[in-house]
Amino acid sequence: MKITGLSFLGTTGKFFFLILGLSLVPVLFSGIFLYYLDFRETKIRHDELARQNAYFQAQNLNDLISKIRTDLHLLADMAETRIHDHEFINQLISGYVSPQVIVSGVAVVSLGGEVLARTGQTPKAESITWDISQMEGSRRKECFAFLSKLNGQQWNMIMVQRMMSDSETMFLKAFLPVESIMPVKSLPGSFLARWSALMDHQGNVLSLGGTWSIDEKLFQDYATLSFERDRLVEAEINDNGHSFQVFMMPVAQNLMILGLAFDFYDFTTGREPLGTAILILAAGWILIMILVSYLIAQRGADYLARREVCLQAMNEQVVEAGKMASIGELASGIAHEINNPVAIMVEEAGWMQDLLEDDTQLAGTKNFEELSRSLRQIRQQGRRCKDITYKLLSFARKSDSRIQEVDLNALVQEIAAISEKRAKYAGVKINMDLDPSIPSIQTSSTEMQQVFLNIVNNSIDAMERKGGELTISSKQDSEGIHFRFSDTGEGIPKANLGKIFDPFFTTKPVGKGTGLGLSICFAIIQNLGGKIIVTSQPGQGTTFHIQLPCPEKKPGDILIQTE
Amino acid sequence: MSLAKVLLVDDEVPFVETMVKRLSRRDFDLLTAYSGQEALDVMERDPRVDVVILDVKMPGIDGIETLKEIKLRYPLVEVIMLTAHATVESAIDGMKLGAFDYLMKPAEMDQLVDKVKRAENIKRHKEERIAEAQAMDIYHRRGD
Repeated sequence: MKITGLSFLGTTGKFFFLILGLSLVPVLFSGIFLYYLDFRETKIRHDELARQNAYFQAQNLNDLISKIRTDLHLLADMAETRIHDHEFINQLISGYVSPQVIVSGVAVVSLGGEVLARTGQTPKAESITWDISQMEGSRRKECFAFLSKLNGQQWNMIMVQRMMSDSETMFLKAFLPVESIMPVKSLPGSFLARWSALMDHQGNVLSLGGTWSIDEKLFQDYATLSFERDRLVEAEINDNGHSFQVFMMPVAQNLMILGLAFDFYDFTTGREPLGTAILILAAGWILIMILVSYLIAQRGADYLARREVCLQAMNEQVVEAGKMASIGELASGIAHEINNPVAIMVEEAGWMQDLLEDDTQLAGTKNFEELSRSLRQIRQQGRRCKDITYKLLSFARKSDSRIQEVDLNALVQEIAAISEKRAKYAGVKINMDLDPSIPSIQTSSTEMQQVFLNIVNNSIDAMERKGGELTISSKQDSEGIHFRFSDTGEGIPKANLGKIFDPFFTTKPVGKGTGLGLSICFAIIQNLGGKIIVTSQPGQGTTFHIQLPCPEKKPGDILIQTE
Repeated sequence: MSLAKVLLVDDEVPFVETMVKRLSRRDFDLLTAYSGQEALDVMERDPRVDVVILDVKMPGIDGIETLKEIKLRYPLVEVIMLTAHATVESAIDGMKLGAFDYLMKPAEMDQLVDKVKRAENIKRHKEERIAEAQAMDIYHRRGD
């Protein structure tokens, strides 16, 4: 029964693991595939952007830069005279505006009074002229110039703030907030850039710094540059590859031309691609799979180990049982066959004894005594043969004993009472620790008596020399009914432990024991569907553990219990 | 005068022969049979058998069957079962079927003799009681 139960479990277990393992394969592959797809898509998008940006950079930006370069020189030449010529400046700035340039701004800042600005994007150039000097008095520290609203729909504006000004230097701040940017998909949702420049009144910029944020992630870089009048300064401010370029040219004492160019290409990398998510997902899957395989392996190993132990125990019992069965059959055959000749021998010896007694000639002679002794010996040895063969027969006997309701606790107490006297002589104290809740079982009372008596006798024998204690305990659990006989005797050497249930194995002196007692116990318990296990610690004692199956409950019993 | 007329039934010829010698020496009148059927035949020829010593295990009709037949035909004859089966069951079976007692092979001669004597006593006692009852019956009838 146990074997089929286990193997059933084994099959479903294996099946379950197989299904689990197989189901993970497509998950893994789909993960890899999805990742690959996304990676490809991201790469394509990336490449596209890179191409676009390369175009912008190569075409527009470079064009712009070179244009700025030439025009700034031109402007510088004319600055002194035409600084107030709005038309001219407007024209000039328009030159930098191209629809392809996505983000760029050019402002002409008149440090003395006016800021002329033009920011990118719209083909139609507009400009607001604002006189910083006029506002200086009232809002010295918060002087903003809203340079462009550009038809109210676009995003670019440059705010120039003159933060402070003294006789030597002035500090300018320019803001470029970008609220909604060009319809380039991969661009971040919010972008804000600021740069500030510290310059002297000659228009020489002493230092330049920029801060910009992409999706609220902040990047910053500063550069200290030395400016000279009429010389275009280009600075690239970048942090981790996100950068923008600043062009500046102080053209006159109060005039400066600013240019900003952004490198969009790098912005795109600032965004976490979908691929990363997939990558994380795939990594997660792999991790889960490793975990699951580990668990499966662990469980499998545990299962195998448990099964191994179980099988081993079962094998031992099966081998033992098989040994018992074959020896039993052999024994019963031998017992039957031997009994008759032994009976004849004993009777013949008896007959000789009878004749000897009738013989008056021999009576009283030395030979008569010797013959009598010899015949007695023959009869005695015949009786010994008889004892052995009867024990053999009872060992081999099929379990056809009458089955009845047996209270095992009462039975073991009875046996203890029978053995009381022997125990007393051997100096053995018998302790009882019985669980009164043990149910009665259907079994042969004589057989169980035989089992208990054999074990109790064995224990007493083991303690005969020094005395000791025999503890008999019973309990019930889910596995069945357990009886435990623990003695404090001399124990069984390890070499003998495996043999104690073998028929004819005995350590008692010749003629004292047949070596069948425990074999009979084993056979009886085996027939009852139970187990008998012995553990022993040489010098400390031996424990016999009998496990019997619980009686099957009738439906009625269950009903009563549930009620 | 013999103590009792005993029929010894066993298929082991040497056993029977020796037993015959030993029991005869103890003043029993012996008859022998080597099978169940032979035993029944012998009893048919000589109905004065008091005690049957019957081996349980025999080829042909075994001891138990023979016992049933004997008890059916001669209810007063006492049977002592001789068994090589040391089991209580075969003894119980035999006793239930009306055997007087059982003995295990090889049996002690003293025990066997004792049992045969007691069986013979019981049989004789029963016969006497029957004779008495018959006498009373005759007596009462005559009185009518």
